[in-house]
Amino acid sequence: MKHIFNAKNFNLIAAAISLIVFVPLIMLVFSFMKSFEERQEKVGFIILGDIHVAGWNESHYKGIKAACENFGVKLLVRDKVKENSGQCPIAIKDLVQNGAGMIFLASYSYSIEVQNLVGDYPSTAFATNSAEVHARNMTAYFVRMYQARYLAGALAGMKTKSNVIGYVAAMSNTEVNRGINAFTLGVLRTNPNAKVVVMWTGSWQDEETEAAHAQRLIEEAGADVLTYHQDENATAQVAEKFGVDFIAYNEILSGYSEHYLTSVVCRWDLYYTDIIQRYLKGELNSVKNHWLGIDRGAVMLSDYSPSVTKEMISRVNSLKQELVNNKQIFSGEIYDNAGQLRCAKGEAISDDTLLENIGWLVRGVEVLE
Amino acid sequence: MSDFSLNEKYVKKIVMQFATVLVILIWVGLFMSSEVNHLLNATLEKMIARQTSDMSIVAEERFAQELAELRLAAEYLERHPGTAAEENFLSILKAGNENISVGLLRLNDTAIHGKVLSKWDFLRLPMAYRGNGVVDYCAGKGLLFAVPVMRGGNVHSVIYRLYDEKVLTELFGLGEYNSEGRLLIQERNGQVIVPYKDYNEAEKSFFINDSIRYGFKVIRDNLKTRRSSAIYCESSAGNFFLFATDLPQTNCSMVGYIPWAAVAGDIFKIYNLLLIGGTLILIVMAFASAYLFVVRTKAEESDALREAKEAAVAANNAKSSFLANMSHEIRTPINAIVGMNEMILRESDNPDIINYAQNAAAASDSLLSLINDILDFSKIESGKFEIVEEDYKLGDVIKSLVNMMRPRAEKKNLSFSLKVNPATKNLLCGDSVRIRQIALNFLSNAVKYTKVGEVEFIIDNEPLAADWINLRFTVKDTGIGIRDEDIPRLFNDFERFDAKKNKNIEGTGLGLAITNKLVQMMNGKIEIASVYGEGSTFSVTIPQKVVGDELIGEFKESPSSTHEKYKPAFVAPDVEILVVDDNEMNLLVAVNLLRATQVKVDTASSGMTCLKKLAERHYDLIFLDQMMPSLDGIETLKMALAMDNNLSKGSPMIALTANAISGTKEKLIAEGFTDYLSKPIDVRLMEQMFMKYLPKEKLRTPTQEKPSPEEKPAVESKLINVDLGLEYSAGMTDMYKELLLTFSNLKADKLQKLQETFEAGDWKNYTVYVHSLKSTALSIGGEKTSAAAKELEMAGKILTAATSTELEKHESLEYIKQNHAAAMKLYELLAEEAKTLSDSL
Repeated sequence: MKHIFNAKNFNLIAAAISLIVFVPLIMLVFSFMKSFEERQEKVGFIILGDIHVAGWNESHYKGIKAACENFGVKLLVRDKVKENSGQCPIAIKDLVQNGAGMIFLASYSYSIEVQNLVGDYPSTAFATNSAEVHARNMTAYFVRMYQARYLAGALAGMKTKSNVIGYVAAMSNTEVNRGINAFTLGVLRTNPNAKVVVMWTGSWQDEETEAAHAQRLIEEAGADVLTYHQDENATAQVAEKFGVDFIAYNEILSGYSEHYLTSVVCRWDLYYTDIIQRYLKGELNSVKNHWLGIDRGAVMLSDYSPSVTKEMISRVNSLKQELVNNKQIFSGEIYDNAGQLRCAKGEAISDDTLLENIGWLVRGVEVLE
Repeated sequence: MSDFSLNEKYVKKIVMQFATVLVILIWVGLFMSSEVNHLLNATLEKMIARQTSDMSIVAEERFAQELAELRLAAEYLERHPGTAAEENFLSILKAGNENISVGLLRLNDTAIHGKVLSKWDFLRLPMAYRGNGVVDYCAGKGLLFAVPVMRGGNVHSVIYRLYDEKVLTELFGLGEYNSEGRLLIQERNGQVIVPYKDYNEAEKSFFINDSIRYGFKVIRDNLKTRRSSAIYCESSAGNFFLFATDLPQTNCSMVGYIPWAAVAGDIFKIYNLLLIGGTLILIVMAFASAYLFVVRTKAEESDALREAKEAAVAANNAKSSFLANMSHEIRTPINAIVGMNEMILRESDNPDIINYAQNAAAASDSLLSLINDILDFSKIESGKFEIVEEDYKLGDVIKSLVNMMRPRAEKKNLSFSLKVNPATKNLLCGDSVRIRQIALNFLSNAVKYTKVGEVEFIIDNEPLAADWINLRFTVKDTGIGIRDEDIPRLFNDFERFDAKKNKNIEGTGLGLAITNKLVQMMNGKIEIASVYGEGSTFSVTIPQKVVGDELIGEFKESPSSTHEKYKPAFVAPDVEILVVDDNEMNLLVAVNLLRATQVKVDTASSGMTCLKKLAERHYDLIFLDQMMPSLDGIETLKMALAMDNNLSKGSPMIALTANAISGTKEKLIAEGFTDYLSKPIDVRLMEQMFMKYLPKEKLRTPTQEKPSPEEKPAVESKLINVDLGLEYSAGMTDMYKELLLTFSNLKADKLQKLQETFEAGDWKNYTVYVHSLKSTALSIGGEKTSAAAKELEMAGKILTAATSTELEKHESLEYIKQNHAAAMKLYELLAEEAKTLSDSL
C-alpha cells in the first residue's frame, strides 16, 4: 500500500494547496488594485528649435518641464520640428501613439499647419500660442507679454536721446503687432516725441538678417535704443557692438555692458503650470482663450542695467502697478499709424480682438523697408 | 517509530500546526476583507466624483444660462444704443425683484445705470472690461453675473445682474439632486455662497468637524489636478462620502456630502455576500486542514501499528520456529537420558545407584513436562491442538493421578485426601489424556503452592442429559492463596504471581493458560475461589459422554510407589523387531529398554541398512526414525512398501519422532506409517505398541520379581529440615553426612570472620560472609539460619549500595546491629545440631 499521507508528503500537499489557493487570490487582489491605479498623464511638447539653446526654446522647455514635475505628469518632447515641413503632423501622431493626452504646439505657425489634423484626435487636447486658429479641442494660450512690452517701451522712451527706437521684428502678425503697439504706447506714455522704427526680418530665426536690420536701424534710422521680437538675440549683439542701448526679449542675457537695459521676460513655468492644471481639471474647453498677465506675475522686466536711473525705475514701477490694478493698455482713444481710430474714448479693445485680430500698428510706429 | 498515543508533545504539535494554519487563514481573511472594503469605497469615490463632475456641469450651465441672458441684453443694447432702451431693458432684467440689482457700468468705474460696483468687491469684474463674461461672488454683496456691451468690436460698457444672498438658495440650490445628500456652493476660499435649505448651525459644525475638515483638505489637494474629487470619510458624526468640484470660470466650488449608507447600502449587500462567501471558504479550509490533520495522524498511527504488527508477527514466527527446533533438539538428548536411566534402574542392584537414577528420572520427567507444556502451548497458539475423543475408564484416570500426586504431597508433608462420589459413571467418552492433564495441573499447583496443611481432590458429577454428565474435579488446598485482583490474570500466558515469594517454584507459567484453553475446547468451565494466605479451591466441570452403566463405586487406591522398579508388561522371546535410527545412542536405548521383554531387537543406523535388512529376514514390528540423513523415514517407508523382496511386508511400521509439534502424527499416518511413537522413548508406551500390534499368543506374562525395599533416615532435628537437606544432597545419605560434618567443622573460622567484619564495620565483606552462610546453611537444610542470614545479607547490600539513600542506609545499619547477635547464635546452634546429626546418620 502506498502511504500518501506520510509526514513529508503532507507538508508538500499543504504547501501546494496553499499555493493553489493563495496565489490566485493575491493575484486577483493585485489586479483589482492595479485597475484602480490612475494612469499617468502624459503631455507632449513640440517646439521649433533645440531645447538646449538659450532663448525661446530653452525657456519654454524649462518652464513646461518644471510644470510637469510639479504635477507628476510625464513630458514627451519633440524638438527641432520645422514649421511647414510636414514634421509637425508626424510629431503629433507619434505623441498621440505614445499616450500624450495633451499636446503643446509651441511655435506660432504649427497650429495653422495642422489645423485640419487637430479634429482627427478629438480626445487629445491641443494648446497653441497662436490664437488665429480655432478648434473644439484646441485652446489658445499666451501670456500678456504685451504688458511687459508696454513697460519696456516706457523705459525706452525715457532712455532715448535721439527719440528714435529701433524694433527688429519677425513678421507682421497679431502677436508681433500687439507687442509693437504696446511697446509704442509705452514709449509715447513717457516720451510723446519719440517714435518706433520697425524692420521686418520675415523669419523667427534668421541671425544674419536680424543683425543687418539692427545695424540699419542704428545707422540709417538713428535709433539709440533697440529691441526685437525674434527667437534669438542677434539684435542685442549688434546693439552691444555699436554701443547702443537695447532691451532683450524672452531671455536674460549675460556678459553684456550697461547698454543691456533689461529683458522682456515671462515665467513660462507659471504659465505652463496654470494651463496643465486646467487640463487636468478638465477646464480647458470652458475657456476659449487662456491668457495670463502681469497681475499673476507671468510677465515682467528683468533686472535693470546700472544705466537705468532710480527715477526711471520708479516710473516704470508705477506704470506696472496700474497694470496690476487692471488698467487696460488698449483702452481709450487709439489711432493707428494710418490715422484710423481703433478704439474710441471710454472703450476698450477686447481680449478676443487682441489675440486674434491686430493687423495694424499704432500711431508713432514707422516701418523701415 | 515514535509513539502515537496522545502524548502531550504530539497534541501540542497538532495544536500548534492547526493554530498556525488558522492564523494564516484569519490573516488572509482580514486582508481580503479590508482590501474589498477599500476597493469598494474607492469605486464609490470614483463614482461620486463623476457624479460631482456632472453636477458641476449642471451648475455651470445654470451660470451660463444667466450669462447668456445678459449677453442677449448686451447685444440688444449694442444694436440699440440710447438711454431709453437701456432703462427699459434693465427693468426687464430686474424683474421687479428687490433682491436683484441690475446696472450698466462704464470702463472708468462709473455707472450709467444702477449702482456702482467696486472692483475690489468683485475681483473678476475687470475681466468683463476685457470682453469676457464673468461670474463672481462677494460675501455680503451677492452673486454677480456680468457681460460686456460691445460697440464696433470694442468693449463699450458692462451690464450686470447681482443676486442678493437671500435668494441664492432658492434660485441656485441643488437640493433636488439627492434627498440623502447635501450640496452647497461656496467660494474657493470656503465662504458658503449657496447653502442648502436647512443649512444651520448644526450643519456648520459638521463642516468644522476635524475629520470632515481633513477630508475636505484632501479633496482640495486633489482638485488641484482634477475636475472633481470624492473621499470616504469616517468621522464622529458618522461615515460620509465628501465631494467637491470647482466651477470653471468662477471663483466658486460646489461642495457636498452624502451619508455612506445612502450610497453604499445596496452595493454593500454585494460586499456582504462576498464577505460571507469568503468566511465560508475560510471555514471550509479550516475544516479541510483539520481533516488533513486527522488523516495524517491516522496514517501515521496505522503506519506505526502496521509496523508493530509486522514486528510482532515476525517475532511470533521466530518464537514458533524456535519452539519447533527446541522440541527436536531437546527431545533427542532427553531420549538418551531417559533411556539410559531406565537401563540403569533395571540393571543396577546397588540401592545408591538406583537412587541416583531415580532422581535423574524425576528430573528428566520434570524437564519433559516443561517441554510438553511449551509444545502444547505452541499447538494451541497455532490452532492445531485437537481434542481426541475415545472411551476410557474414569477410575483409571483417577488412579494414575492419585498415584502420581500422593507421593509428591507426602514428600512435602502434606496430607492428600481423595473423595470420589461413588455414583459417578465410570465408562466415559472424551479426551482422557487432556482431562488427566487438567486435573494434574490443578493438583500440581496445589502441591507446589502449599507449604503446610492438606490437598483435597474431589471427584463428582451431575447429570446433564440422557447420556451426558458434567464431570467435576475440585482441588482444595491450604496454600498461599491468590489475591482477588490477581484472579482475572490467572490464565494469562507466562503469568506468575508473588514472583519473589515463589521464585523457587519451578514451572513455565504456562500451565493454567494451557489448562484454561483445554477446558474451553472441551466446553467446560473453571471456577476459582481463594482467600489470600489461606488457600484456594479450583474446580473444573467438563461435559462428558457416558458410554456404559458401570459406576465408579467406592474408590480404592492401589498402593504405589514412584520408586517402583521397572517390570516388563510381557515377555516375547519369539518376537523379532527392527529399530532404525541414525543415532547410535538411541539404538542402544531401544535395545536395552526392551531387553527385559526378551524381544529380539535388530538395529539399523540408516534407511539403506534398514532396506537391506528387510530383504534379509522377517520382522514382526519395525520402528523407523523419521528424521535421518540421506534417506529419511518417510522415503525409507515408501521404498520398503514398494520393495518386492520385503520379507516383512504387512508388519506394522511405527514412526519414531522427536518432532512432537501438532500435525506430525496425522502427517506420518497419512504417509503410510501404522502409528507413531514420540521420542524420548517411554518404555511403557513402547510396550503398548507391542500389545496393540502383535498377536496376543506371542506375548507371555513375565515372572514376578521382588521390588527392592527403600529406606529413609528417620532423624528428628529442630533447626535442620532433614528432607530438604537430603534433597540437596540428591538423596545420598553419605554425601549429606559429609556436608553436615564439613559445615560444623568450618563454623569456628567463619563465625570469627563474621564477628571481625561486623566489629570493624567492614560491611562489604560482612555481606559476602552472610551470603555464604545463607547458602551453606540451606544446603544442609538449616532453613531458619539461612533465612536469618538472608535478612542480614539484604541489609548489608542496601548499606553498601551506592544508590541507597541515607535513611535507608541508616535503617539497614540499625537492623544489622540489632539482629547480628541473634543470627550468630542460630549459626552456632545449627552447627552443633549438624554435628549431632552427622554422628547419628
